[in-house]
Amino acid sequence: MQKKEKYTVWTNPMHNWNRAFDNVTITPDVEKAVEKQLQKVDSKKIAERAKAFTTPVTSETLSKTIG
Amino acid sequence: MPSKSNHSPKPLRFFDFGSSDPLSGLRDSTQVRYLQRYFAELNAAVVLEEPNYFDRDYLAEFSAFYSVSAAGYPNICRRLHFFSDSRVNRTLVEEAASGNEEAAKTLNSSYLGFIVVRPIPAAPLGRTIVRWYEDRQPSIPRNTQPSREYRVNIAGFQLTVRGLAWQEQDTGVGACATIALWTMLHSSAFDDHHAIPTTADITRAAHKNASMGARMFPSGGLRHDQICEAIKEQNLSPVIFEGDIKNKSGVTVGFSRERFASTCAALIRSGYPVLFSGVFLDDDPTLSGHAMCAVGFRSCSPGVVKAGDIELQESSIEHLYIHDDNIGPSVRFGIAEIKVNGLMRGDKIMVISPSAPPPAVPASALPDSTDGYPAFRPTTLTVAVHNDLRISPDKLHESGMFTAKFLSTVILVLAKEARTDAFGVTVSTRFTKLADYVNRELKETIGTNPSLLGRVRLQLWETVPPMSLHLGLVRLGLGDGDGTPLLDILYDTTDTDRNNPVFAHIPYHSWVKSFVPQIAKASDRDFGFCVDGF
Repeated sequence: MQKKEKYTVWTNPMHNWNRAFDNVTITPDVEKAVEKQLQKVDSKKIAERAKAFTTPVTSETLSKTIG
Repeated sequence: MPSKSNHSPKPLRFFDFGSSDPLSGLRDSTQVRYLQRYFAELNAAVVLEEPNYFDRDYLAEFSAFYSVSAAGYPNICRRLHFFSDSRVNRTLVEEAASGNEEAAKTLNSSYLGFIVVRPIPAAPLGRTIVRWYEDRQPSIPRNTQPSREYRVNIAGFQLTVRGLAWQEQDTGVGACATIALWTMLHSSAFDDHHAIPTTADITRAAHKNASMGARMFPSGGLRHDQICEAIKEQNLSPVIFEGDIKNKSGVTVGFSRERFASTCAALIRSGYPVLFSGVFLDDDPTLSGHAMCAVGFRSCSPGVVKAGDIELQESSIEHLYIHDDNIGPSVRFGIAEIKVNGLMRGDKIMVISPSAPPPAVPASALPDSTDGYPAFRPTTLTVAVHNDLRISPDKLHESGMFTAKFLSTVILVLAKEARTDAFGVTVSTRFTKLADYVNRELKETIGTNPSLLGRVRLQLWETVPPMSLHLGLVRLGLGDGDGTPLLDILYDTTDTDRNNPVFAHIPYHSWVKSFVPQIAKASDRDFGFCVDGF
């Protein structure tokens, strides 16, 4: 069996895309279900994870010599 | 006083690559052995020596430091050119010099790069550009966006090599931080921006407003604030990222894998090399640190993301390519997480160590000169970015993570409707020029459908308000392990983080488009104009 080629989100060609959700009919009921779930999203958890990306630079760091 | 013979005309010389070539004739060092192995793995066959070469960088070092030394250093260098074709010889060069295009083509196709050899016995390896190894996995590519093309002129014919400049530190004019900064400022991202500064220019710029009484030459190192000042003197903006892992005393000791890998990848993919500063694992942390410059990384294939969850796609990258003046150019480093004493429970810290790719022919491979090199713990990342980039890379990640979480929730509901497996969402970010996004990135993504490509390009030009020269780009993908793009979000880089400025979004599937308004409402975010990418 031929090994399936692996891609990244930047290199994946269109013909290889996953179309599993393209045929879902978006009815008012589906929209309501989505809206209900979106209201339940706990932003605090993501905010906690995103904290790693907001580290302040200290004056101690700025005065450290390299080399 | 330098002998006049230093400037006498000398013929080009040709050597078989190996133990009797001029590279082997240099003082033995880790760097020389690394370069020998690197060129051997590129199948180097011939070395052409230009015995007289005035190098702009060395002339600046000479003017700043060596010219007034009692040692009588000459101001002229040698330049060694490496070729993989064993037919390269004087006859072929004479034909190329005579305008024979076929001969010039043969030389160019086998050209592997060059080394400027300075007349400084302790640190002879000056500006060095080496070709990248062939990429054997183009679908999971090695990203070397900061690399640029260097043109080399010899006797009327031109050779080209794509790479990024490296040199070993001489400590007269530049220490490791200066060299890393010098490599950073060679990046292709700054091609249309400025003349590339020499190491002497950088050391001077670092001392211009922030010397605090320290002497300029010989250069014993730079403080972070001096690195930032040197970047600003080039009319660019410095951005520093401090580690996110603290020890029990609250002192920052390094990075988590997610923060480190995804930040490095986003910056390198944007064309910005990343200066790592930190300490070797076996060193006393109170000593002055070391600096190196990351110039590439190997992409990772996206993993399967748990339903309802999100993943920063590049948090799993395994290898970075780093210019380390202690070793050489494009050294492959592996990323690992370790536990060390004093961390909070469960925390791990990220370290990098050389991890040479397996040799093409193990039996005849030269020894790996990086063996035994200690693990390095980066504590700070520094980049130079264009002045109009006011939005931070961190903001792109944070914003992308929030939107991905909401989109992954939409997928949970749809999967139930479609009676199929649900997956989470991947997040990947970068900065790009608007023109590069429209020309190259969109073509890469939807180029197999030319009418769609044309429609998207024209809509971006005609229906979206005027966009900035540089864009912040967040790409969300389906976390099914295949990397299917779902949504691009284009950020205005000329506004502040606080305004969350979005120009437009491009959904690649109609179902994504249907739910963007609901996501915008639930997350209280604006996604700008919609340009259909399906």
